[in-house]
Amino acid sequence: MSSQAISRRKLLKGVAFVGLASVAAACQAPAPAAPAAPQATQPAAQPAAKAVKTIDWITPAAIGLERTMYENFAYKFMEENPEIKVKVSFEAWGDYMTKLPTILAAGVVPDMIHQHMSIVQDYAHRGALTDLIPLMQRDGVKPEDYIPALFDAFSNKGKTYGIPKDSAAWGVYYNKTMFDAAKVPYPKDDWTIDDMIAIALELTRDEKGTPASAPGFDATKIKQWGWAWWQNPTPTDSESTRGLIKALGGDWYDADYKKTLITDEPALKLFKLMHELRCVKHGAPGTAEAQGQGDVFRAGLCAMQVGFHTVTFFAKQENVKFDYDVTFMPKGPGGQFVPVGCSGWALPTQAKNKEEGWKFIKFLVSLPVQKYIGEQKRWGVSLKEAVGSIEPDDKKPANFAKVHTDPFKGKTDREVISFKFPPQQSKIKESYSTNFDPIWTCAKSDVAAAAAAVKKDVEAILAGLNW
Amino acid sequence: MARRPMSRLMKREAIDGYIFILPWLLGFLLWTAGPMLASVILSLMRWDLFSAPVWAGLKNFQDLFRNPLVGVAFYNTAFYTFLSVPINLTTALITALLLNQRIKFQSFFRTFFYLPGIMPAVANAVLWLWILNPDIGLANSLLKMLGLPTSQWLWHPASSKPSFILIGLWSTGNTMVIFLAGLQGIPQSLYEAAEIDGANWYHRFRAVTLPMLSPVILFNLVLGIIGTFQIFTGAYLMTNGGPQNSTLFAVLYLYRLAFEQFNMGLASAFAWLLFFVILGFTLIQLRLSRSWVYYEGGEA
Repeated sequence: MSSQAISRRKLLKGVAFVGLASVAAACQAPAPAAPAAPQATQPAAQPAAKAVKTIDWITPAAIGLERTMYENFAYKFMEENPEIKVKVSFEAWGDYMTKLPTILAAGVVPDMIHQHMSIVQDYAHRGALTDLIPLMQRDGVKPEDYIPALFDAFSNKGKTYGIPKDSAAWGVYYNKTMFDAAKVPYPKDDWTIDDMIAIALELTRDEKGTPASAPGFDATKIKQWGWAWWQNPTPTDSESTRGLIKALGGDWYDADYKKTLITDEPALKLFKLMHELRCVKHGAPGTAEAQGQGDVFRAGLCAMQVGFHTVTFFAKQENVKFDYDVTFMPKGPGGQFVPVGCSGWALPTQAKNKEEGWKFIKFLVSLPVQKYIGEQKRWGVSLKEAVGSIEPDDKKPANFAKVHTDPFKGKTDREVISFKFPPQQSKIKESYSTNFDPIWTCAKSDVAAAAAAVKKDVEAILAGLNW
Repeated sequence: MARRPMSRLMKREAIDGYIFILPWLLGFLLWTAGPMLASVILSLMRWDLFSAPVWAGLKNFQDLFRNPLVGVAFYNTAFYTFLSVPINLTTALITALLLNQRIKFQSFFRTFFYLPGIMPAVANAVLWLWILNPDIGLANSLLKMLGLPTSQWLWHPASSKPSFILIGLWSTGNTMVIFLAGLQGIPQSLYEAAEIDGANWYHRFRAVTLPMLSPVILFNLVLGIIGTFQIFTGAYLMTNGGPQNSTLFAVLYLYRLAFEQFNMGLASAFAWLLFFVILGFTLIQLRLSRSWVYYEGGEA
């Protein structure tokens, strides 16, 4: 009907009005924080005279308990520090790795960020992170109160770029039920890499129950494997591999990171052992064999797996049907080591509210918070005094404390080692995947050639770093 | 001949027109043209996102041509594109022809074949990782049941790209719908005339359907090539470029350069190289289309 028709001018005016109103609404002050979590009440009303500073905090966190827990910590912190408001942005792991550099580049700099040990040196090298040493010294934050080895991963040339927020001590989980069925003794604490290979082959069985160590083993019909890698045995995917290379008497890099030592005998031996275990002796599943079946250890498909305390947590969550325990990473001519890793909290160089961000970091690594985190049994902690809180209440598996927490308390004669991932990890990874993929996918076996190619690339990268 | 001056009404109409397209225009300038222009400048700089950009001139382009992975990425992408697009188009066209028949449950079948096309990429990736798993996957189980040799699918360099081509067939629904719309636009009278002249189904397809559908085929071909040249999500989620860089596609490598290696200058240069490659192929197709595309109302 013509009387109800809207003219083009009116429509444009209407659209313009709605548009302006939307812009005005979008530009208003941010909405108040979400409702209070059970553990803490909302921060009290602010005194009018005192200005409230808002700190932006960005971190990867899993949906559910982890996010709720962090929100609660933020509320508690705001309650104790009414002059500071915490605005948190949770991200998925993958998204975080893309979002963080993008927002830093765009100048939307958060006041406090999450840094995994594998990326912290890269960010620090690019000048994106604040050296925390002056703040630590001023406020009496001592690395010895935390797990000192973890600080190594976050430090370089006398500067520290993050405070460890959690921890992981690596060991080897083993399926006791499989060991019992095969009448193989459980690995001893001082077992060797040779023992590990021998047990892995003994416990790799085909459908007829023939072990990989015996003649007649049918590699096309494997029922269970003896050993599963956490990730590739290279210095790119996990700090845990340093436990093996050190045990063999080598290391990934020289002390000042000018050279990589992967063409040295220990590294070549490790690559060869792992290649043969998977590709020649069939004692470890390939990527395809492992994928799509969940975690091969927890799925009961593999007798041994390198892992940290989360194996226990998830095995309990999934109510696995077999008995299991954990022991140390095997020893070799170089000794026996407990590789440890972590993530940490850091302050971007361009953060506007560094003092407030630092205050929040101190809160998150304080004893009550760390204890609460540990009591969830899901995440490790970085404060020595709280380390015991992650131990299972039912004391199972029996060796949990010996492998996962005692090394942090200094109750082990094995050396606790961390790993400092050098900057330009992505470029280093690129060289490893180009040259070592054929080794791990069993297309090639010349580990010396692969190592030599990677060494050339990596040392060129290191030479260009001035790090 | 002198142009007639615009009347007041025409001017008002023109202004209204521009106001109507203003939101899109602003969006285009701010979010598409602006970043594109910025990436031209960035391609001539060295910038790691954190420190200030430094002028590098054409060095990024020189580096691109010296970087062996750029060649690998383009080879993988071209392999995928030039096999995937014809196979996809043929499959989508055959499906559309079948779904254009007057059969029972026609709507159900149309929906059924279209649905995978709107499946979220992550769900799609998880599904295909299961199907193609060499040990527990449906594909190898089926092959074993039929007594055929099995494959390592995504986990072997020889079969990884063909696996992506196979996965691409799962999402032909969008192309199929466009073909279906095109088929329904062909006047029935043409088929009737052909039948009177004694044409069988093949003649009708060859002499009526294909020529009448040729603009739609061109449209799908151009979009298909542009789309497949930009394959990213599946490769990122399922193989991350492996095994042995066999699925390191161009956009995946571009992403790595930009957001993993923080080499925005090189990534921008690579993006422009990719843009010109795609533009080149598009122009070639448009040029070649003059010889095989039939426009009912004369050439556009």
